[in-house]
Order: sequence, then C-alpha cells, then structure tokens
Amino acid sequence: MSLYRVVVVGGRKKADFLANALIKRKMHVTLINDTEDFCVEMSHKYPEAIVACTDGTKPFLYEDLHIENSEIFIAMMPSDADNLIACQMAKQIFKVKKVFCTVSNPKNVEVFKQLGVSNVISSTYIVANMIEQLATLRNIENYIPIEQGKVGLIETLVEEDASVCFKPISEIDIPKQSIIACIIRTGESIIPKGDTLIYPNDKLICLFNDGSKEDLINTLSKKR
Amino acid sequence: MKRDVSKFKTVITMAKISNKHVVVIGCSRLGATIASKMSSEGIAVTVIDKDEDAFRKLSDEFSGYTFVGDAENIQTLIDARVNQADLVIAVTDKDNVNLMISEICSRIFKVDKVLCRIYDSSKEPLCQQYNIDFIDTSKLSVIEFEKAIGGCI
Repeated sequence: MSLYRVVVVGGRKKADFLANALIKRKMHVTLINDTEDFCVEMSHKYPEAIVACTDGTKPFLYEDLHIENSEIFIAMMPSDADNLIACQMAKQIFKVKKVFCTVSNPKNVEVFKQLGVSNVISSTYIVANMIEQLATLRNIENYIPIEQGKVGLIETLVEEDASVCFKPISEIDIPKQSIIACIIRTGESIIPKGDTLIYPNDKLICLFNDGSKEDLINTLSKKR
Repeated sequence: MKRDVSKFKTVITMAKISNKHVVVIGCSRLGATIASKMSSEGIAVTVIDKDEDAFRKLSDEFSGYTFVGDAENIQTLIDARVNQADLVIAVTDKDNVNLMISEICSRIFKVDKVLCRIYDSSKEPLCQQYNIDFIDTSKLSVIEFEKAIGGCI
C-alpha cells in the first residue's frame, strides 16, 4: 500500500481519535489546531505526526505543509464557515482529491453540497436522527441513515411470539422498497434467500427506502 | 485596488437609480456606515447582525430594516429575505463568514451583485476562483498609507 497522507484540521477528541486510527493504519498524519496545549499533547502522543499550532484556514500554512501532496483533507473546526473555506481551499486551490468536513448546523449539509463540498457530516443530524429512531420504534437495536435518511439500515430482533417466526422469507409480506439483507443467528451471518426460515431471536438487518420504514417494522414486529 | 473602490461606487449608484433592495450583513463600523449612507440616499436597506446592540452604530436618520440573527445560518438569510435582494454586502468581522455568505448569496440565491469584505489578502485566490467581488481592507489601507507617506513603503 502506498503511503497515504491525511490532513486533519481542528477538532479535539475527534481529531485525537482519528489520528490514532489513521496512524495505526500506517498513514501519514498532519494535525492542525489553534489550541496550544492540545498541540503539545498531540505532538507527544504521536511523534510520527506533523502538528501545526495555528488558525487552520490560512493558505500560506497549506503551502508550507505541502497540502497538495495529501490524499485526504478533513476539516472539523467549530465554525461551519471556517470548515467550508478550508475545504474549498484544499479542493480548489491545492487540488486535494478527497475533502471531508463536519458541520454543526445540519442545514449546512445541503448548502455545502451546492457549494461544491460534498462529503459533509453533521453529527447533530446523525445523532438526533438515531435517537429519534431508537426512541420511537420498537425492537430496533441499531439504525444507520444513509443519504440524509433517504435510505436506512436497521438491525431488529425477532421476538419469540412474532408472526414471522418459522416462516420462509418468500411467505413474509415485506413492503416494497425494502429487503431483509442479512440474518444474524447465534453469531453467524446468513445472506437469506426466499426459502430461508426466520427463527426467534434472529437479528435481521434490513435495508429500506424511507417511505417503507414504518410498514417494514410493523410487519416484522407483528405478534402471532 | 482603486478599481475596487470605483466598482463599489458604481454599485451604490446603480442601486439608487433603480430603487433596488440592499442587504448589509454585519453591523460593523463599516456595515453601519454603508447602511446609514445608503439609507440617507433613499435606498431600501436591511441590516443583519446577531447582536442587537450593534444597531446603535446606525445613524439616527437610518430608515431601513434591522434584523437580528446569525447570518452563518441559511435560515436567517431566508427569513431576512436576502434571497430577494439585488445587492448584498457581507461585512461581518470574520473573513470566512463573509466568504461563505457571499457564496451562498451568489451561487445559491443567485443575487445579482454580492460584495465581500476581507482582511486577509491571502484569501484572494479563493475569491477569484468563485468570482466573488471583494474589497480587501488591509490592501486599501496600505495604499492609503503609501500615499500619505509618499510612496516609500
């Protein structure tokens, strides 16, 4: 594998966690942060990383750090505007191929997309959405929204008295625009076919289009 | 840089003649002065700032609208009807915020004319990349100082 160069601007715990993961994968990490104590801590913790303590949206800094040689640029500063400008500079002026950023205002996901920064992550949006799903839907163990929730992946447990128990998948009235993608049974994963039977305590991983979510969950959790 | 100042004057005249709607974002010294001046010349002006106290910098004759809100949030811009403006002037105290607002106004709202104030000259390439009209205040000051001293900087 060729040496991957990743630049991470801003963020404290997130940057630390990310740096740790990337360095473990033998990537070349550059951290930029404007808090001095954090930079000192990081440079001790990761001697192999380059740590720059400064405002992360200055073009001369990008020049000095040779950001044009990096494959990935990640902006996680507290201000959404800073992240937008950092990403645009990295992408348009320094021609970094993959550019990611986080935003605090969920509306900015769409705004940034229109302004040419397409990989935008809103933790507020993801967390709020997850809590909403986990709190309002029964038997849902995990929920992952994809494409701003247009598509979703859920993990649900089949109860002992559910009507789907001991039925082959072909006989279950699964709503259109959704599928049971995988069954987890006693730790083994099974990619089901029409004749695969569902047993109590199976964990079903289902993929669905947003409109069919309620129907799908109702079908799977219906009692006998 | 002279070109930029004259460009700005032309824009003001343009707005005056055709009775257009102008939005000034950031009631900084500069923002307040521009808004007050335009308002006294009979132009319809809306000023946006996240701090209500900032509006005290407007002149007593100011007869436009004031709108309290964070212009970094697109909803504030929509609520203040910036998407219907003919001219937007982004003069908050943060370069990146000014740039972001300018981009939203020109590329998403398709506002005819957007002007952006920047302090940091090194961000000029980004303005040029996205065709944002900017006024670089540090550069302007340097030019004025140079004139005052007699061209020895």
